[in-house]
Amino acid sequence: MKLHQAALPTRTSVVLATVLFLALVGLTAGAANGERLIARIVWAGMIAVMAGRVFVTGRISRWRSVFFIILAWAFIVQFKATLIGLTGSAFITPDIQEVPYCHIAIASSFLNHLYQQYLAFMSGAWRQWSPLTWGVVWLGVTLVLGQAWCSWACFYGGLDNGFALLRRKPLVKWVWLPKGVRDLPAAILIAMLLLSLVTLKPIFCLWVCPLKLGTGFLEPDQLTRKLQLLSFATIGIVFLVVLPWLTKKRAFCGLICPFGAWQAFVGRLNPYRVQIQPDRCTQCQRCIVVCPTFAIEREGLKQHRVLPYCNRCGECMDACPTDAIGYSLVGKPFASLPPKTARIAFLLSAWLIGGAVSMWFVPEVMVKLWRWVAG
Amino acid sequence: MIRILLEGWLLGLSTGPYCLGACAPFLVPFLLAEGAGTLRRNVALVSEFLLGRLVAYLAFGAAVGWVGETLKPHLSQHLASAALVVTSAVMILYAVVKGLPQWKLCALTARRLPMRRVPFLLGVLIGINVCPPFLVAMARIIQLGGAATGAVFFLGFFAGTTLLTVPLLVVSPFTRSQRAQRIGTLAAILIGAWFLLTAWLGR
Ligand code: SF4
Ligand code: SF4
Repeated sequence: MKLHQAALPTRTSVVLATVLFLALVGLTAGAANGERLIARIVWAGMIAVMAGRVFVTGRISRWRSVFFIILAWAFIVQFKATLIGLTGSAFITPDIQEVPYCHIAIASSFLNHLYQQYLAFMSGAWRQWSPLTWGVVWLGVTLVLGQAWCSWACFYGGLDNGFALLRRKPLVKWVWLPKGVRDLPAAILIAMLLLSLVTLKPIFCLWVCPLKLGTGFLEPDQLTRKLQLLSFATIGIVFLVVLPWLTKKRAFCGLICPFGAWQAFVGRLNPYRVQIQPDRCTQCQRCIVVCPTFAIEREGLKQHRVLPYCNRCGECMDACPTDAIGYSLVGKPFASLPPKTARIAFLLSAWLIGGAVSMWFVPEVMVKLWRWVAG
Repeated sequence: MIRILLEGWLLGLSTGPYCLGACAPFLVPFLLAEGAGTLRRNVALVSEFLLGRLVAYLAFGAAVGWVGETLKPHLSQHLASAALVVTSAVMILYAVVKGLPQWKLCALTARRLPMRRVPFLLGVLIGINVCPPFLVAMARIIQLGGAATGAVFFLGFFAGTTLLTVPLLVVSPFTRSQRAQRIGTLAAILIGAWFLLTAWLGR
């Protein structure tokens, strides 16, 4: 494969990959033993190899996608397996009426969380503080990774990323969005926040999340339940599978997901950005064509601007013929750093956080697979 | 009368967060979409909205007090559903007309609609959307009886709940950008559609 301008020398790449491996093992292997410990070490090694390939080739997208898709499917398998363990079935059961939470739901019902935490705080109910703890974890991840969560650690992102990669070329070319449509996730976020607060229910989980298709916790009323299922199926099939497969665009992340909009807003706290260098950019628009989340608009490109919705996937950097677009760091302390340093710092942070998140479930699935194969 | 006013005020204060939750889905996207950008203009918009709510409260309080025990809560339930449908329809219409001025039909509707009175209209309609605190207030007036008593009680209730609506003005600094206005318009359509759906499902 032709090397990209951003490729690093082999020795530097090996050193960086080794540092990453040691950090991941040090961070996550302590609490495990037996086959789980082995699985964690093996998975950390695989992450280090994938990261090493990115450093040494200078191309981000291929190995990031492999990692990201494994993460997503491992999450689904683990989620379903846990559900089977809990209920004896991976599909709808009438007795489960609880709504489990994930990071997307936390964003869209954040006001409810604040209110609950306020009540817990006032009544001294310390046991109910866990959402607050999760909030601290999320804040930490956001400070380190910002919007990059959506291309390095989110299971939904891994799903539509996977379907987008099934074709080499798009069957339907989809480059532009009508004005304002890229803001739909932000509008969905505001609507979800307010509606969740007024109904005191996580509306995203009850009406939007395609992952709920195969699980319980739906409202018992028949018509409502049917409508919810219809909504889950439509959103899942159209935005997670069909559109990404046809167009190579990550339609769920780019047009629906309220968490993406949330991270775009709060992620401003994080110092990493994707920037276009005006003196290098030839306005060839390759970046617009390949960006899977519509994060570069024609008008914006003229002013060398990338939208805050950019989730740092690196597709545009791999495609740019002049190496004009890349990671950068904002803020005075980083002003004098060369672009290569920003790139290495970002990639290390992304592999580390994404890798640490994946450590929760990928090794678990590896153990399950191993037991299944070994009979 | 002072005691009744105070009683209404206290009830409003204690149930205010709930009222805030009921009003915010309509008011926040509206403020964003309106995009006035200045605190002063947004204060005017919120005041118009609140005036609408006050008018609805006073009229409703007086009517309930007057009819007294003959007005059963189930009657108000129908009124609430109808008001919810109309509120949602006004929201959607407003957002579509405002968001798509380039469409001929929208431009025409905009000229016919009293667009400038939308905040007031929303306030009136939300005022008669029956939420639990409102029902408690109504039950108390039925107990007390009398049109004037009802109006005074609701005046206090309005003052109590309004205090908690004021923080919604924090969205003001965000409303200047075109992007925020677009997001507000889209959110208004989504929220309007949601309430129409829930009204249809009868929940
Ligand atoms: S691909 Fe590179 S050179 Fe082409 S428009 Fe984008 S940033 Fe500019
Ligand atoms: S602008 Fe580049 S890094 Fe950002 S989402 Fe688009 S392709 Fe990925």
